[in-house]
Amino acid sequence: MTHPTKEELMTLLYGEAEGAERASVEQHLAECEQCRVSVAAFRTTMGELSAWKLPRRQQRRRIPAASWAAAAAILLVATVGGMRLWTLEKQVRELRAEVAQKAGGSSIATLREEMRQMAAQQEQLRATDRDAFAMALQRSQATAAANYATLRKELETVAILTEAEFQSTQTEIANLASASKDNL
Amino acid sequence: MNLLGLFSISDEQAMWRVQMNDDGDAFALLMERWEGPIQNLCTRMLGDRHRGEDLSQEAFTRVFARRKDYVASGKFSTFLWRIALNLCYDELRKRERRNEISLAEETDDGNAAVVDHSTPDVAAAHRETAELVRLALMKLPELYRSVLVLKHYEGLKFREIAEVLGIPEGTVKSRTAEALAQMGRLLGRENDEATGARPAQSKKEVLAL
Repeated sequence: MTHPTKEELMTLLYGEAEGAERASVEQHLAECEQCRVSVAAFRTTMGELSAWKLPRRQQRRRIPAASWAAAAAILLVATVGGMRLWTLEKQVRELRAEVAQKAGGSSIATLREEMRQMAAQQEQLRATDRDAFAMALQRSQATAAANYATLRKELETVAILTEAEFQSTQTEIANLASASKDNL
Repeated sequence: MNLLGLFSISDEQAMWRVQMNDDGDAFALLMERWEGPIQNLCTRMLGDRHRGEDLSQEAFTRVFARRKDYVASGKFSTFLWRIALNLCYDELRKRERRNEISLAEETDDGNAAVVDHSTPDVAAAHRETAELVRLALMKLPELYRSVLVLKHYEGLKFREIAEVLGIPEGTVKSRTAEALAQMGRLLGRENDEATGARPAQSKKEVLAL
């Protein structure tokens, strides 16, 4: 009985044996204990090798041409910004309700006026943000292919500035809240 | 040229555009398709994830620099694998000269195996095996390591490996067999006579270097 060569066993083990070649090697293995042992040893090693898996590669966008990535980043910043504004507005509403409940007196008129001003301010803030995002988006579409890196930097700046504006608004609200309590 | 419009083109067509027009989108597409496999190749050749990522970047830089050398009749991936492998060989040469030991214990951020087993014990055992495999692979002569990495991990056909390495297909197969046999020994298992038995080494010896 001629045993299959190691080359033939490799072809079989890595699934590249076809047709007659595969049939004859398999036939041999069915009859030959010695070759079965050998194949089993190879299979064990192959199984062990497969234990070393690598994490999926991290997305490193170094290619300026990836304009869709820039667009996605803008979208993300815009969404996050929008959500924060929404939260802020909700806080204002709650505050207003609270004040209305507790005050109910003469100071309520002034408070209402202040609230209206705040709301207007926020509306303006949001418009500014919207404009900033729209501008950034436009710019990105035009220049993404050339300088994605610069764009990202700009976006980060926009995000930081927006963050700062939100914070100052929040502080104002806090002040307003304490002021209204004092009034009571 | 819209990036989306590029997604259906072959590697060879993309490379041709890079060659002819320095087409940045086409090159980005090639990187998108091949950065992962090339990173993995370099990582496994060097046993070092971070260095592997660096070398992968270098490989693409070199592909771009040598874009005129690419022969349009050949497969792009063959061209790329070859460039990446040569960079790995260079790196290993440098290490040898510095007499650097590349088997440093891995920290958890880099080469740690990806496992999602339900129990910590199983996961730990799996990680240990993965680490032993990495160390054993680093002890395997490069001649066998490259064949094994291309075949076992990257899943190239024997014929493709023969093209990348410029050796006959039969040689690729016999080297794969020898590589597996040596790995079996390095991993400390008793091997049968068919794969060329030698006294089995203990797992500790592999770590001892």
